[in-house]
Amino acid sequence: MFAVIHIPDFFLQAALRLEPELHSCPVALVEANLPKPVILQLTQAARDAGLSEGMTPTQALARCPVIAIKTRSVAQETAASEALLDCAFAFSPCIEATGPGLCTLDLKGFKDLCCDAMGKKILNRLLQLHLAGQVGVAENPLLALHAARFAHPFLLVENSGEFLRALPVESVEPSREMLSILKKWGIHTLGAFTALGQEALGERLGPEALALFEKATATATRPLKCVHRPETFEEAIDFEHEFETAQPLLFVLRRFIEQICLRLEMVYRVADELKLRLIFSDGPDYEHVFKIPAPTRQIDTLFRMLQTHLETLQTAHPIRGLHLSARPGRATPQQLGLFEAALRHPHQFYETLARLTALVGSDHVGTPAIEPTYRPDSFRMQPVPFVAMLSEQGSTQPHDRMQALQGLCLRRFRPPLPAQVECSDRHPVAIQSAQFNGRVSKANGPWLISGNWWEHPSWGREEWDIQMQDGNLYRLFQQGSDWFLDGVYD
Amino acid sequence: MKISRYIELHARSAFSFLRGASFPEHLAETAANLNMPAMALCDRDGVYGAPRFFAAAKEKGVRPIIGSELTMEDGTVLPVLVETRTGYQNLCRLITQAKLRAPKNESAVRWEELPQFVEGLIALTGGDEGPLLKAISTLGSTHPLTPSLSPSRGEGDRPPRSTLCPSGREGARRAGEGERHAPQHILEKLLRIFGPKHLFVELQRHRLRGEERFIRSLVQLAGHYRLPVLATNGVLYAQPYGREVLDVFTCIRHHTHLDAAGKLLTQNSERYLKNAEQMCELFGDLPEAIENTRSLEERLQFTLADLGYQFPVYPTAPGERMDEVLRAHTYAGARDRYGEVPDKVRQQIEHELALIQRLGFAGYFLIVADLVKFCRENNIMAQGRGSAANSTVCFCLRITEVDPLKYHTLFERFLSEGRKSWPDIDIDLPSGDRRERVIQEVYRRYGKHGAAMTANVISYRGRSAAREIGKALNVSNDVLDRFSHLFANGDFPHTMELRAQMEQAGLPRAHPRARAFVSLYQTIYGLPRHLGQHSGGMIICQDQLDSIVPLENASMPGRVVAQWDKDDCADLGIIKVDLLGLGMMSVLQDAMELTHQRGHPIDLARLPENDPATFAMMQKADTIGVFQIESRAQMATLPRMKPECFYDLVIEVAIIRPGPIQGDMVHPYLARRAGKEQVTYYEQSLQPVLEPILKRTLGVPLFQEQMLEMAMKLADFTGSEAEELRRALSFHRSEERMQRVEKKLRAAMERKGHGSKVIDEIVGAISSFALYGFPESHAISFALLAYGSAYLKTHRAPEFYASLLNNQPMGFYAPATLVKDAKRHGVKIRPVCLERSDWRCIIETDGAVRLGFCVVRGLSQTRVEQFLKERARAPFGSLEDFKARAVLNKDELRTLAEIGALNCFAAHRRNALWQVEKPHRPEELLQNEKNGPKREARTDRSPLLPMTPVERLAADYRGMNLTTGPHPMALIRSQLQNIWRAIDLPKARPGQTVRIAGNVICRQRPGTAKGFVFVSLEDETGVSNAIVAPPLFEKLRLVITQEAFLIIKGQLQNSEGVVTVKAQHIEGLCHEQLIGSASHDFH
Repeated sequence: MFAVIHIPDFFLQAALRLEPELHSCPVALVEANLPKPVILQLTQAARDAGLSEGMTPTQALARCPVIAIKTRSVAQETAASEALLDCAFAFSPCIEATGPGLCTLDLKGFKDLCCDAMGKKILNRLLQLHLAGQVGVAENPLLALHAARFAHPFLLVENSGEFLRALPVESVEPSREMLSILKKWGIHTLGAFTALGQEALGERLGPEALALFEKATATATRPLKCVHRPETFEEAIDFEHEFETAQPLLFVLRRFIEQICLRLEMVYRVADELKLRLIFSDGPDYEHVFKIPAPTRQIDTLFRMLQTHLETLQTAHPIRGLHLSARPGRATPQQLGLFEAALRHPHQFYETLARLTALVGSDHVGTPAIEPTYRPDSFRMQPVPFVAMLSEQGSTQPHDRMQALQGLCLRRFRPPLPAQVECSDRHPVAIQSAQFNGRVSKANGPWLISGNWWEHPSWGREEWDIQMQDGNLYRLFQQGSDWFLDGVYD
Repeated sequence: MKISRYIELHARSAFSFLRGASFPEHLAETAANLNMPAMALCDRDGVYGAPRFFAAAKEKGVRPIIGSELTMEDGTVLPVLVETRTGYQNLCRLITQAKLRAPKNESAVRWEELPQFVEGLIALTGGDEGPLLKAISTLGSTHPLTPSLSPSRGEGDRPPRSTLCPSGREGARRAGEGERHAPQHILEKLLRIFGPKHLFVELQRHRLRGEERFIRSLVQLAGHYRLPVLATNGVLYAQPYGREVLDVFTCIRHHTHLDAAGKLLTQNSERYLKNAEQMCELFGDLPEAIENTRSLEERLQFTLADLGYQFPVYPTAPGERMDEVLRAHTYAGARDRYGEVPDKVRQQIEHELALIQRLGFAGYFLIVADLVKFCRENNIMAQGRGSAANSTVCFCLRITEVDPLKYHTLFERFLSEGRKSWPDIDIDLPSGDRRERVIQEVYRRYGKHGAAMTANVISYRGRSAAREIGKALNVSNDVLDRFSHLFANGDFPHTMELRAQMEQAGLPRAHPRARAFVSLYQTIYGLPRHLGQHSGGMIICQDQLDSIVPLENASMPGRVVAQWDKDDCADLGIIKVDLLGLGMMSVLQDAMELTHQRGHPIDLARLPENDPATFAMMQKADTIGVFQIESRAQMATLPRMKPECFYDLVIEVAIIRPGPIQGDMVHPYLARRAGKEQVTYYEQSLQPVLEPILKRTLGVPLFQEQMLEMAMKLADFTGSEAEELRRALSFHRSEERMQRVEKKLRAAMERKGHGSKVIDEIVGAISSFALYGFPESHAISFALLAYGSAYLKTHRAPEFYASLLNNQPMGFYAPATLVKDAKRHGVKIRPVCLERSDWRCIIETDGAVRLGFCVVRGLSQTRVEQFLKERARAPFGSLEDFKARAVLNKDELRTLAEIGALNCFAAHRRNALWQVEKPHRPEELLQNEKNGPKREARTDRSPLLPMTPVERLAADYRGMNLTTGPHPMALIRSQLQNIWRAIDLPKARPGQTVRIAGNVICRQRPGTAKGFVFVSLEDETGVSNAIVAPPLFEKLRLVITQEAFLIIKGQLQNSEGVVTVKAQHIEGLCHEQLIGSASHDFH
């Protein structure tokens, strides 16, 4: 026997996993990045409001002004798919990831199989994962798949012929062209389809029709393409609106941790490493690995670790996505590395370490990479080797390198030294700062540079190269009304 | 510091399309504000913005200099300035040559072709894209610097630790060896091409770190080759804020967004138009670079006033003058029109010919008449429109069909002594192939370089501006899509406030980019986006047109388009002939041919005047499909106007226009006509003056001619002043121009002692004509077509509807609505049939219209015509026979089966669908060829059930977007409660609350309707109309614009037979059985 777990409107369910309360509201899911976005899936409340798949969001808003429009999230779909597999692995070791929101279980070897009870268990587990599923059980995978699609929410197929005849023709997944032909013919059910006869169908519609006929009779069985247990447990979300503070992130992370711990529990594992990845709206991704000294699936412990880190983290860009993955381990004593001393309270130690990072700031750790912009000093820290950067966009054009190498070297003051500057005819004539004072004998400039005018705040500065009476050369700049010494030329 | 005079000689406008950010007018105005005595505009690969710049600069007292940036084959950009007319002609020819051989929107001048075009041109070495600076920067980054001419690491770039002087024999040797791309090599090449007196080394300073190295190199090179240096600012926008627009344009050009554009964006906003003081400060160390701008400007004496345009000469016999030929042709035509030429006509002809001779326009009339003759000889209907219809000469030459003496139209509206520009002669032609033949004939006569379509500048408007800005600001497609949908189409004032629209689209006010979005939207709105081609405007030239304006390829194969639009051409005195395509001309010509074929011919030129049945139909507003009077507003006016004669129709055509509506002239006219209001002429004292002018329109000025006459009488305007007023009235793009004339008019009327109330009323009436008022002659030309089409609809309905369906898309209504209207008029419409249909709709012997294959979606005309030939050779014997002999693909066969076109060989549509899928066996074809096709009985062998009526309806709409069967509303009528049918509405009591429902066939929101929206719903009995007030529209905007079927509840109004429902509530009519055609929206 085979069981198929089917998550109807899977893309939508994946998008709503973190907001299960929205299932009872009118919600539509769109593929936002298409040139003409259309609605892919809908909640029942949205259908009740007269909406249907294929409408544009504007048409949907016309018909139901309170509709919430969500966009498809690959990250959430991947996470939901993995959660589905985790659930399935709790019931059978031989699992096939049949499709988005579809998973087939081989029930061979179950003694005294009570399909009904098992179905209920599966459905309950799914609910804990915030997925509403349907389960079908039948003698072959295809029949089980049909059963899952039309289960309410559980269906065991005993009389396959009768069951199949009533199914809509879409259930055998004809191609778009084939479906169009069948609709034009007025063929709506598998019963009507098979009644046309295999030979007549084959003659007119070719091999695809024969394949569909096979599916429609569902007599053949097939081996499952089994998948392995996942090596990591991941939850992810792409936010519709960017976040600039940690608070909403923590809320989401708490749910992620809960889900991951639940999934770990299903397979009797613990987390021995967490990997947090933040996706910024306009910068490279940020990734941090939390090595867990004493593997655990205690929600509070894991969450505190993330919370401490996030409270200390400052980012230059708003966050538009969040990924959290856990590497499963076994909760058994293990040999520590050569330089890893045994810790009395390992979790507390990592927490402390995170707090220390807070003192200097995480952006002070790593190596700098230049940003592709004219903004002076625009760089990002590459947190190597503790923090891995995923994408690298620094300018490495030979032209840029040459430009950088030409001329005298500038020894930068970090941070730039505030200075009092006396000007005459808009040219600096004297400067006074904590370290350098004197009259300016020559000034070249100003060089004007500004950017990001489309954001608030934008940036801009006016630069001067000055020669002091003692012959030293400095770079001076004005930002707003303030002057700074930027560096000295060697 | 001594301030020298500075002339900006290198500036691009937004007409460099995404490479400049300001209107040419704005640049000219800024130059004037900066007291710059002259300025050059160098748009990229063309002189697109030159006419506007010329006009604006002249007005502001700035001498406009012409130039252009040429994209060279190696990707560098070479700016050239025009010194003489020859230089201008060379520039135009060079650009034309480069453009015509390149794909659209591209150009690449070859270095080797440059020498033959340089006379009269002066070259600059260019800015950062220029060949010289490119060479220097390439050298600086990839090669060891040549010591003798190396960019120094001196002041500005890096501080001067030591002065790096040119020295070193080794370096000189390397330079001497000279790689092809070395700066010296490039400069020597430019010198060879242009010569030392026509080449300037261009210097630009934009306060960027690093630029001094290049300046130093350029100065050294200039010194070495004894070339003058020239300061420019490489202007890309008039004011500093233009940088933001430029950055957005850069993103659009590179298909990226601001967050990702990085170093594609500009570093600062210094490329604005700077004054002499600023430039002198920048080039304090190089005063000669500033001085040279003045000396160069003095050499650049060419302006567009010196274009040297000449209209082609009409070929005459030796010794024969064009005036004489025109006279002979006119009198020959007059005899043809009138028989014996009456004295009155003779006098008018003499008057007109004398003026035409004085103005030297005889050749123009002859050439246009010759073109019309070509149309006649090739059976292409042609009719002049516009003010040409005021001319008896045009009437005699058969350019127009309106006899001006019959309608007392004003010849001076067409031509007058004061007129400097060429008169407009617009010719209406049947749209489609027949018009294309005429256009190609013009190309044939004048050559590819002698004729061109005028351009049509496509500007950034609401949707396009928002979409492009949104993309640049990295706003999601979903939000932009919603933003676009909130525009309700068409050219009417958009009533939704920008920020509200943004919020509804999902971009809240607090969004970090909302501010930038708003500011960019306001700046970019109206800027040119790209160049299209005008629908019919052609310009021709005596000598090569490509020496007057650069020509380039249009998107349409075989078409060449000029770089200027029709207004620019008119301003510069280039003659334009508008060859406009009118769908209705095609309909009329087709319908006339059908009437001939059916043995009851109709000649449009000899229709009975004032046919009662035709006017009775108009009075009932039964005008779906009739030219000009089928719109919702026209149909609402017809029952009030009750036209009884042709001139009433002329007024009907003219009155429902934005001009008269905005000027509040409609209601007074209708009230006076109905006798509800007394006919007055503003003031009693003005009656003697105004009665002769306004009597025929009951004291209400409706036509442009009346406006001009009023101005001449009441303000003592001379012919030239009236001409200025006429130009202002027809010059839609300049409000300022209109205001100036208005002021003059007001002052003149005040001087004559008219009261302020009268002045306000008359000036108001005249101003409103700036909003598209019709000249009387134009209205008469259109009324002729309207009458012709109405007459056909009344008396030759099958021919009329068949022709309408054959010329889709056109008019206000979709084919589905036309089919229903035809049926309501007793015309039988039969479905497409394989055995009987042609490509076009035809009329069968019993008078029924048989739909043609042209109404079927997705059918290839070529393949259909192939099988029609096969059918003509031998009728198809069976479906198998058809499949064997027709080369149609499976989709086409399925569509034909689905719409019932194959029912002649099958018991029902599904039977045919079953059969078309059956593979064809070659042996059957061979058998058929041997024995000939054998007629087989219709076969019922199919396991499929026949379609239900609902399925047939859906199949019809899928395959044809229309149905000859019942209306979709008929299928659900029994399920609708308390819904009034269109036919029953007149029986309802005025004021009664009713509910109407149907397929939305038309949504209109005229600019003149103060935000009111008119919605037409079609059901199985006819069309019902609703009015939606602005607040309700704003509230339910999406329901109204997005739903295909609506239920409208509201109060019934019945005013003089015009029944409308004033909407109180609107909702979508959702029913799974409903399928409707697309509506005609917001035009």
